[in-house]
Amino acid sequence: MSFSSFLIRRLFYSIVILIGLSMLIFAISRIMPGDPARLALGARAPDEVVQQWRDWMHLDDPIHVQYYYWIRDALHGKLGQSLWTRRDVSIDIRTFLPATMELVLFSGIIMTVFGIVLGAISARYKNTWVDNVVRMGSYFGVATPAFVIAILLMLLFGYLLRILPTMGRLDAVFTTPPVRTGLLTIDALLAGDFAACWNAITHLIMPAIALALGGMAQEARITRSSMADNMLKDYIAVERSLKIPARVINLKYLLKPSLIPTVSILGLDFAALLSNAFLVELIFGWPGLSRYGVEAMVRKDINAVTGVVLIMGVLFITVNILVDIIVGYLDPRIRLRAEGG
Amino acid sequence: MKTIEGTYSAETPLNTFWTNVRKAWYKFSRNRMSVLGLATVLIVSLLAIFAPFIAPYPAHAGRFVNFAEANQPPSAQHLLGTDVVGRDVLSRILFGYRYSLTMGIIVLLLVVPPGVVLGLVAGYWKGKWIDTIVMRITDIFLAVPPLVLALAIASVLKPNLTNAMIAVSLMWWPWYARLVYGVTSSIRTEFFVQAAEVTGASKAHILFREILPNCVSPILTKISLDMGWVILMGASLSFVGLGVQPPAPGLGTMVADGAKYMPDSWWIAVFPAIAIMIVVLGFNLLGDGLRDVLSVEEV
Repeated sequence: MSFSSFLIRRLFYSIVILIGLSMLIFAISRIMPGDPARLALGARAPDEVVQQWRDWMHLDDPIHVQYYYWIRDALHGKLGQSLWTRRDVSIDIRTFLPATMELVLFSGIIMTVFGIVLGAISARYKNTWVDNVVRMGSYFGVATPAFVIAILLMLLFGYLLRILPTMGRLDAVFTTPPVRTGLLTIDALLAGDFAACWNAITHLIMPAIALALGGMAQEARITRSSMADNMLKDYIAVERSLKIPARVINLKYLLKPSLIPTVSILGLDFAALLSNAFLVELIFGWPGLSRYGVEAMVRKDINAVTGVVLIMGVLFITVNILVDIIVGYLDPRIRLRAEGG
Repeated sequence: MKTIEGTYSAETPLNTFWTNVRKAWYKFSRNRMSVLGLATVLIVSLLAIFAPFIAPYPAHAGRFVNFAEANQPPSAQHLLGTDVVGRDVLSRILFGYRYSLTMGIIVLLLVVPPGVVLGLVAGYWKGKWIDTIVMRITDIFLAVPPLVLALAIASVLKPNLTNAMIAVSLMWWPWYARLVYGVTSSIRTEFFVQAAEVTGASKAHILFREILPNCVSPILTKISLDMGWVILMGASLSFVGLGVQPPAPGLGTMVADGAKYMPDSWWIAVFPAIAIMIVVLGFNLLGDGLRDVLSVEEV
């Protein structure tokens, strides 16, 4: 079996998971106590209207028929109307998703880069004060919830030092650049508006760090321990005795294989990013999909909730496929095993 | 021969048990961080249990207002200040720990047994239909970021502590199923399992008396680490408004409410936030220590 057919199987498996996930989400949306039609239309709506709404949503059909209608519409990009914004959920998602993507991408980069660099430094200077500082820091980083970090950052940089904005994506004095990618920083750059781009970056910094810190600490810990393990391996001693430059040994022969466990847990860290985005976006007034999701959840806006959870699941599954591909690239054993049988 | 038989006299098993405990404690206590974690967990638990006696203003944990003393910064009277309706923040945090720990304990009680049983069954019959069904369902639950799923489940139910616990439990069992599955499927072909099969032991005996004891160390370690995570999850749910309902003092609720009054009354949000951090850190350090002592690698 070649690596590509390994990937095809992986993709096929992901589709199976996705179908299962859609059933799970659908089931959640139907366990809600009370009449969804009543909830959508309010207590004072006439009975005929409620009945009409029930017919429209197929609520009187058996559950598997309801699921069929729901999944058919979902595959056509129709996720129903949001009871809160009174718009199509798919339109809402298109409006709010880019902001979340920008935040998650930015903090994903911070998390991975700084996590690996800190872990590598910590391993390189093992048992020195540098190592101790990084390890202590990562203990706190792992255990501190993102929303606690968000609040502390906000107090420190937003209110005490007043060097970073605390709310939203862009100050009101700037005109929003024309939407091309949906990522404000990049749109502003494309529009040649450097001031707006810088302003957007300053808005990103705090929420992104609040999101990234936990995963970063985890990545640093794992990179450190796997590098420290590999340092003692015989092949490194052989390479040292062959007078291969230390820089080459450290980067090519030590860091690269040591990154396998680091990358393997990236998927989980990404899940934490997406989860925590729900709280961090709320704190920083970030107009993203997660904040939309929370508002929808608090308002029992069932179509919006299912839509948001579905999108989060798709994102998460996609990232896990990417992680598998990268691990396959880093770890020839996995590729060889896949090719061997 | 005689001397050997003599050494293994009736009192020996008890003796070795305590010797083992002493050895384990020695190993555990070598790591200062683990001891710090254990101490934190013990102190927080005691504070929570005896909150009604320790808290300076026990009445402030409930429906209580005193606008004359609202928004006071930390002082000798109110060590951690008062909130916008004049309730003592310290007292509320101590009672908040009660909700947090209760949630952690109940969720794990609800989650560990079914997760472990499913993992045992699926792992023992690896490759059979039951393995496929159980583990694919597990995968589906693990295919959504956990907090997102818990939020979604909590959102369709009535917002209160019980339903928050149900929501978190529904998405937490797969982790135990997967953990136990891993251990079980790797030891199910060992000789001691085969020996039990050959001698005609019942499946229940094999699963629970032969295989399960080998899963205890990783399960214990995971429970200790998970206490912190469940508490955090509970705080996150109540932060959004889907957990402990006011006026009851949920730590997450307190942070969310306090955040509205930043930066002027920073203490309302910051101290409960630090309280959450301390308890999560404590269980993490404890779990890490247990992992080392029990030589667990899977968790």
